[in-house]
Amino acid sequence: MYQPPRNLLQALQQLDFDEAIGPSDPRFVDTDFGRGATDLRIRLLSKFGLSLSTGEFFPTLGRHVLLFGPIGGGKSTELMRLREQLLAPNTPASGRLYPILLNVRGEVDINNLEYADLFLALAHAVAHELDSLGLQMSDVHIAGLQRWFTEHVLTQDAIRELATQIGTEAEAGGGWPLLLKLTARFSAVFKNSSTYKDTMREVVKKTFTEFAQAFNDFIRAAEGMIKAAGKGERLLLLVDGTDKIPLKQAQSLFLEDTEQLICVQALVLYTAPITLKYAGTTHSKLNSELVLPIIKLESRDGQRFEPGWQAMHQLLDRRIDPAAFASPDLRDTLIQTSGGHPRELLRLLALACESSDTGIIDAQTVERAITLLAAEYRYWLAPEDYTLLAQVDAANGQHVGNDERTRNLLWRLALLHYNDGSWRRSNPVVRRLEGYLHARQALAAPTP
Amino acid sequence: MNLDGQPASDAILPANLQALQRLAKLLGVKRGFQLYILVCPDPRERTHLIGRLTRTPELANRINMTVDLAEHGPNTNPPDDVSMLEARLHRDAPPDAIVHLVNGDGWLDAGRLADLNLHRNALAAQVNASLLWWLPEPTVIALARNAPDLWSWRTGVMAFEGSSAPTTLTPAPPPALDWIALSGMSSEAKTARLDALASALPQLESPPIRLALQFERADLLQSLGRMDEALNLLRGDILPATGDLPSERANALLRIADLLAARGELDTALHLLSNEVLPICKRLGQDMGIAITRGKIADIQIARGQLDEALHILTEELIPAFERLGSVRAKAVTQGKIADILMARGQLDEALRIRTEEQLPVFEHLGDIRSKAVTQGKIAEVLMARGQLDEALRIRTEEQLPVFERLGDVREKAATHGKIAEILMARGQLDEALRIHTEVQIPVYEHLGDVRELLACRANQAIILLKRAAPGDRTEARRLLNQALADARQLKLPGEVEAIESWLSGLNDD
Repeated sequence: MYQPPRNLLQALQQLDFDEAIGPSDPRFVDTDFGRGATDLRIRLLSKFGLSLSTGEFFPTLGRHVLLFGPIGGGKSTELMRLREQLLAPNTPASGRLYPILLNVRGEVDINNLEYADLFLALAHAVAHELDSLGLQMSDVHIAGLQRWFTEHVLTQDAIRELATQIGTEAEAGGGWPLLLKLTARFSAVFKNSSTYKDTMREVVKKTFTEFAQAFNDFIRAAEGMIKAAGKGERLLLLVDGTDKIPLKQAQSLFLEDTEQLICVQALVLYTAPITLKYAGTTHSKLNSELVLPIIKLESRDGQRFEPGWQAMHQLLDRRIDPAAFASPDLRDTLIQTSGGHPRELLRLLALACESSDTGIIDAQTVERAITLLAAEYRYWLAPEDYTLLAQVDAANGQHVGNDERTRNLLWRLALLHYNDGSWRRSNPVVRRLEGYLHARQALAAPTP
Repeated sequence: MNLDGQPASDAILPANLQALQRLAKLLGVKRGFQLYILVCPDPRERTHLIGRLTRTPELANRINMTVDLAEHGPNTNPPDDVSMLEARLHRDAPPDAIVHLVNGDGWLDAGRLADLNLHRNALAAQVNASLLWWLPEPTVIALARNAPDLWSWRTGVMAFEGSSAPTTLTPAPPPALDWIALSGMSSEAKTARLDALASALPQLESPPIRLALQFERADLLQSLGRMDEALNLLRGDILPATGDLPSERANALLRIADLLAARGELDTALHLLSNEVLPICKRLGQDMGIAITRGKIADIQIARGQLDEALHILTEELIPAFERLGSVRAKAVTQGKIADILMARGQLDEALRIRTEEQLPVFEHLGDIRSKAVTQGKIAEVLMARGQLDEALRIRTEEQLPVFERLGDVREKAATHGKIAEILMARGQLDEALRIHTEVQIPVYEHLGDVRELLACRANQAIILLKRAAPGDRTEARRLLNQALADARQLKLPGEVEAIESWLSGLNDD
């Protein structure tokens, strides 16, 4: 049975902010009630035509949905949970959608991501998943994609070396094994070689109609095979990590290149940075309603929100033995200061573990951890940022506009938003900074 | 983490121990690619911190390497760009190595910061090591603001303090507009001139001639360290005599402000400059006067530690003003002040770039060998801060000293000897450093009657004696410090008083 570490160094070692916790992990906590988002998965799957309660299923040919949320807020965990739920046998929704989870962070260079990279990574993820299920497509079904590769990609001068190598292998076999190799090789190309990447992007752009047709045929065929194997009726491609790409790239991918995305007739769910929600996605052709909120510690009127506190307590207690704290109220202080953001809580915990000299987290250690986290915000917050944060708090969380500054503060967690984004608060650690205190004072001062 | 019991050569500031322990803990438990942002303004303290870290038993089996990103100064070999840095780290850094990236304040410019922000994935994939970026705070702020993706990958941010306590006493530059004419005069010559002026002045009737000589008298008094007398003269005699001559009044007020600032009366000095001198210059349309006054306001802000505000005045107002006025020399001097601020903030590489690429060529072009030599001294200061003692010593002895000798500038020559003694002290050559103070510097300052320099010299002698700790050294050090303290109090020099008192209190604690 899992026991959270009591030793602070051990706890520190196990804290990895980028590690997504799946539902089968002993550290997993169901935070639905704490977030005030008990129907999120129901709403999400209904976007893809599936009723979670009745199993009724009538999907559109293609659907691209964005799931927004702040970084470190639990979106990856939510996708893993969704995957597990869809694969679970004997539920009304069983056997409808077969999920394939792709984390682009491990597959492509997320700092320089374009739709061409994404499609090839998706092709590889689908091919790889079929292969792991022991399913092989016939030559007829892969003919389009394979032809696109051989006619347009392997003929490029810039990738002659790679093409020569693959050409030799193609002569030796071809068919499904070759397609597996092609998708794997070219997906990797996007991660490791800027020369190949530029060439590949150019090819995808120039031959997009042909590529999209071949890709759609490939997805249709894959869905046919999944159905024939009794695994599901349609594929649901879950793309994680797209919330971590730089904002400009995200904007380009989800706002400017949407025509290319929706040319792909597949059911796809992407994670997206919360900032993008307020940067014009209402005009996007992608479905952009859903937000995974962070955990609420209080309601907008200031009333304590007990389910949120319970969820945060469980999150903390599964990362470190409560006995590591000198007194229980110190856990409350850490939770309160996190503002209900899971990663902020883990950051505070890490800083407390780093700061303790005694092997126990006492009041002094907690105070020091809070001061250290606040100092990290001090490095980048500008005077105007403090003013804006103070204005939001003074307006009791009301939106005071969605300009670039606001979006940046949301993205970098100085501003936290609750429920589906209907109200906001400054991050509690920021409220300790002198810049914020001055801004509050200036707001409170009567105008001359 | 056990960071105790380290050799004295790695003595770190007590205030930095906690942050260093946090860093050591994280390094001990985290493996694979890790990114640490370490805020440290002082290369010497950084060297000590790295030394301590390297000797931490828990990290003893980790390979340490240092990548020096300095672009300016001798023997630099920084990577051209982020890709080359990535390749170098990929090639040289073994798994789980601890890589110290130092002197990157100039290298990490806006372009490379943007590249690094984009390359973070590749860097993480290629380099399976802990990268410790040692940077001054302004560069960390730029990184946090302009490379948010990279910032979000930080394993930890630790802020270390620089050694604010002086290890030697360097007197503030004398508060005069132009010391060149007086700097080489002996104290006897100055006193004789003062006597001559005292007898001549009552006979003179021409107000302009009287005023000019009174200004000279004030300068002489200042140069002899008789600050109160100089101030009284300026306030009591000179200022009333400037009644209908606004530019002379501004001149007198500027000198008064200088003297007040040197005594630590910064508010009064600032008030004079902002509310009296500046309006006169504006009324007279004296653009150069406005620029000089703004420059002095910036000097006061620097003295108050308001470095950002001062930097703003220097870069946004003075540099454009001097460019407009076509004064290349004044611009170069202002750039020197900017470099001073950058150095105080730990941005040594950029400070070095300004010295070598902006200032030196101008002074060379103007044939101003004295200013060139002073600038080379500043370069030596940066190199010394970086621990490049041999090169710093070479500049002092081979570049600076011969120039001051040729110019017959005994004061600057003595000051340069003091700097050489400082380097020798850092190299552990205590006897030779002590000999320079005793046999070379003190006779010169005694001859010049420069109480200010004398007290600094005595304080520095005391520090060397304390370090040497031979029998009797401690008693002699205490005597010298007490003498220096009395002089500093007499001259109303708050900075010097504070420093000497702190050393004396350290002695009394034993």
